[in-house]
Amino acid sequence: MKRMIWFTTISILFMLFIMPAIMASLIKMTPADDQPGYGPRRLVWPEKTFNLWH
Amino acid sequence: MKKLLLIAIVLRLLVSAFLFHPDIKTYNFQASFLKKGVVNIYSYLITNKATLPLKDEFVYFPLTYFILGGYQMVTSGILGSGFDSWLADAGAGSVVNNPNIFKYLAILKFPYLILDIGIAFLLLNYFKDRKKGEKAFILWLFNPFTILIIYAFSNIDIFSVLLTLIAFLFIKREKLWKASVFLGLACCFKLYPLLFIPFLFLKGKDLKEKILVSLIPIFILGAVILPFWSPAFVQSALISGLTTRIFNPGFSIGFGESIIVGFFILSALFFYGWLTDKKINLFNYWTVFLLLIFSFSHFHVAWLLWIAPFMVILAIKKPSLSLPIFILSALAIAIPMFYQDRSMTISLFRIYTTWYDLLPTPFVVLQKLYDPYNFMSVLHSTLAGGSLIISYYILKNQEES
Repeated sequence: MKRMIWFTTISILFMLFIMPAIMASLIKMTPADDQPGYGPRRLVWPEKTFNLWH
Repeated sequence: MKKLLLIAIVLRLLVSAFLFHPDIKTYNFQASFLKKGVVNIYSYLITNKATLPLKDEFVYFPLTYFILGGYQMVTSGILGSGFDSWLADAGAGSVVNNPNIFKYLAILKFPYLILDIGIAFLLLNYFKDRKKGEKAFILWLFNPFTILIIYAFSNIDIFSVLLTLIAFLFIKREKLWKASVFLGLACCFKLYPLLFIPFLFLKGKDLKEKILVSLIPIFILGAVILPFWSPAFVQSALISGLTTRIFNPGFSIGFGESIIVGFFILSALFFYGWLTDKKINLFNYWTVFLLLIFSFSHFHVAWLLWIAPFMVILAIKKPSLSLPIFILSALAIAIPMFYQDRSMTISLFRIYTTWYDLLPTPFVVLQKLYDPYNFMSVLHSTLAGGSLIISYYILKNQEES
């Protein structure tokens, strides 16, 4: 019976307080820490150098 | 014991307040019309469907409506003025973002706590041996299955379960009349206790008692439902998918006829009891019947509560069965978690944050690895096999119990 008491108490507390944290860590934020307009400049196409003489 | 009871209550209150299944809001919204003087909820909901924010029909029996509606009347002072607008709120986000939701859920689920503790005390007094009674009391209070089924899924079936257990205790004391009255009351909340009547008939000492104890529950049920009898009631509650689902599984024998598994099991057990059992033990028949029904039907998670007190009694009576019962219980509760229904898993946690809506359900996750329907079939087949053997074990060892 002691094992069942511990098992129930721990599993319920895990479900209420640990599980939500695990679930939150699984959420994939879009865009993930790469927000356009912030941080270093990112190029969509490779940068080209134009030479007017050739 | 007192300390354990306190811990058990705290755990239940926490689950009550933090986990939210939308059903509790739906049926409490419907029950809130009692405050406004609506008596026949079935026809009211159908007549006013176009103007109501929640369009569902009331699928429960009349006594559920009056008990829930009456409870709301009593607690309206504590629930506060914003409660009715929360009930009527059809917005998926605003409902869980309401800061009062913890209070609402804890108060709305409080009657379940009282009934749940009531069941624990009934189990405490079930056995002549005090130690066995205490074990049953603790096992009922400390198992994650019933806590989840009752408080996470807001299980209204607990009314019927308590009344059925009281009926069963009267049967144990050979008071069949009182048992049939409580069985009748249990039927007024949920129809499933009606299925125990054939076994009550077998238990009767003579034909007169057999007929009377079988008719009393039907009369009580009839007295409660007849004033509400209407196409709306029949359609919403009596022959709703939820009520009749138990008898859906079957196999065709051609020309439009089929063998309905639920009735087949009921009939087989009835005739087995009649022809082979001189001193019928109803505990065995009810337990075996429910075990087999869950084995061969697509059950609702709430139904698992019907059998829970009997499983606790069985685990205490036969300690060798406690581990198989635990494994089968885990299997039984795992199956609905893989249904394609968000409110079985992820959505229960929406109070924490609605960002969880971005998470896939176990069904979708499993879909990437294996066919979820096949997986559920494997789980259900394992449950059915185990239940079949436990049923055989119970019926074989009847004399000892």
